[in-house]
Amino acid sequence: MAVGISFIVTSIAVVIFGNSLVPYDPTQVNMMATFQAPSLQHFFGTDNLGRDVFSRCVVASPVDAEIGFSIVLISVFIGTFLGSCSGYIGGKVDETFMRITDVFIAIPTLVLAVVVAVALGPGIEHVIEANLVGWWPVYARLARAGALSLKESQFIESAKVAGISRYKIILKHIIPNNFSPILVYATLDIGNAILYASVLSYLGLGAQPPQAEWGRMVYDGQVYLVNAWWISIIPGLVIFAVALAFNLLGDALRDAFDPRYRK
Amino acid sequence: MTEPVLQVHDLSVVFQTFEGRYNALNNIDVTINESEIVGLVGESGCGKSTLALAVMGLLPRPHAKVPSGSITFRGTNLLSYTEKEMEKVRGTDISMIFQEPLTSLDPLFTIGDQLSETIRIKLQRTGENVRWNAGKVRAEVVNWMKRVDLADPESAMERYPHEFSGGMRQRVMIAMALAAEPRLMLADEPTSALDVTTQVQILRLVKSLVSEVKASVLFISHDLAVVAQIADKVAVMYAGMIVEEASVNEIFENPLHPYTQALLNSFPKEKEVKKSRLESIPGSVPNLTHIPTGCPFHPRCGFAKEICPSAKPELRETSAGHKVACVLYDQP
Repeated sequence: MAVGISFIVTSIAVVIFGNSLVPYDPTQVNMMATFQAPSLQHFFGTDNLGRDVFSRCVVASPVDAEIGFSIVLISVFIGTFLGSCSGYIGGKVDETFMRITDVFIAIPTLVLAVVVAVALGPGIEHVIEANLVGWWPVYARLARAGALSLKESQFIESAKVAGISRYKIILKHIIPNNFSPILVYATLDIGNAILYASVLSYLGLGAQPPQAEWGRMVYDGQVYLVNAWWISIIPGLVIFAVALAFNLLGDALRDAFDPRYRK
Repeated sequence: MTEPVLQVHDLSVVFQTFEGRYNALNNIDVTINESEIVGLVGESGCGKSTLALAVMGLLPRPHAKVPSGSITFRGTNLLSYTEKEMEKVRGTDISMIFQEPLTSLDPLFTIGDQLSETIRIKLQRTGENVRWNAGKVRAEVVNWMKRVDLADPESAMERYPHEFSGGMRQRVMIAMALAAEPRLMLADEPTSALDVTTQVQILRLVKSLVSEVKASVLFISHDLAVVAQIADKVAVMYAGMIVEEASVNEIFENPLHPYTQALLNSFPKEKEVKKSRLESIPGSVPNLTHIPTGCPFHPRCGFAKEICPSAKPELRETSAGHKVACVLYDQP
């Protein structure tokens, strides 16, 4: 837990202050200094155009953070709302909503995202939109499951007899009581979202040069993998570390919220 | 005489399940007059709570069906109301309290928050703008917490349900149910989960508050002793039917139906402490998928006659205000 949190705190600092701290201009081409191995001058080395890989990794962090958080936050909003309504209202509404989510869940998220991204064309916003299409149904499922069990609980019944409207019961009692599993899942999921977005960028569907983005950097460097491994391996390791950190944090949150996992 | 607050007439409720049709209520008639407390007594699973849910319009759909009957509340049939219209009736005109005070409050909100939720609804329906009137809502919350004898309301309202005992939570529930000054309160075994001393306090509290706000009460319980303390009139239910109805004194002094007599015999009496064994009713409550034909009580009844398995007895008045459904009292 401490590892996850400290890594994420550092990452947040990098995201906020990184742009003003980088040692080199991340888009500055310097043909005199191409393919330099990691050293004290260039921590992560330089790429085929002589750009500082470390600086590029740092300035890419707000971009990737934006993608990861947007995908997950928007999914949480849409999914939680639809899922809670669906589970609580039940009957035909529930049946309809759940068949719709089934359709989305049946298609692998990544395949769906690639298809949508191709249709929309390259760009950061399009990466977010493309991933959202397949991302929210999981949250709808999660919220629905919670709503189904909460719906039977006594305090919901007493809210009903007190004359509180359906809509208000969902907003004030179902969603807040259902929020901790969703929060835990969302935290675990941010790493995934960044990973998926990087995959799209790697396929050339996300960030466009010269903008720095981790997935894109892995793609750009793979041609030189044998001679200059650092150009793609290091951004890859950054993605790995961020995804791992969010997983650790999510695990820790689950332990904190659910006494059954406490030691 | 003024018109009754609630008149349930010929009400039947059926649950359609995979195991078959549960006839939860069979042609029930109940009348509750202005400021009257009606006790509804019966064993577990005889349909008492179903009646309350039917009145509230909260029967679990789509499994529950109402093949016949009407529920008339102040002149209109509640069964003809839509869900939206029922939402307006609940809480302000008819309210309800439940058996489990421990789980009846949302664990995430303070007592004050939850009480003010109902008080806001009440003020809104009387046409007041509550959004800019937090002070008034708060004053009303404090007032109601005092009325249900919660000590130190100012600090208690900032606390969460888990910090309250069962009795205290039931007081909060009572305040929530009565804060809107409803015409009718349904109490579904409100004291069954509490210990006996708390039970007595809660019963007294309900009785005095109900007469203050002039509400009528349908008091559901399996415990005749509890009903004896609070009710004006008692209806005895068996297998989804009302088998006897009379004033509380009449039921205890002159029970007519064999089931009522058996129920009373299974209670310890002060004079007979030496008697080591309590009487019990032979057999068990019938499964509602297979209610015995004729009188549902005949397989367990000590007075059963030949006619009982074939003829379903009607609820008939034997003396003023005393109704019973048993062939023993049919006039030849």
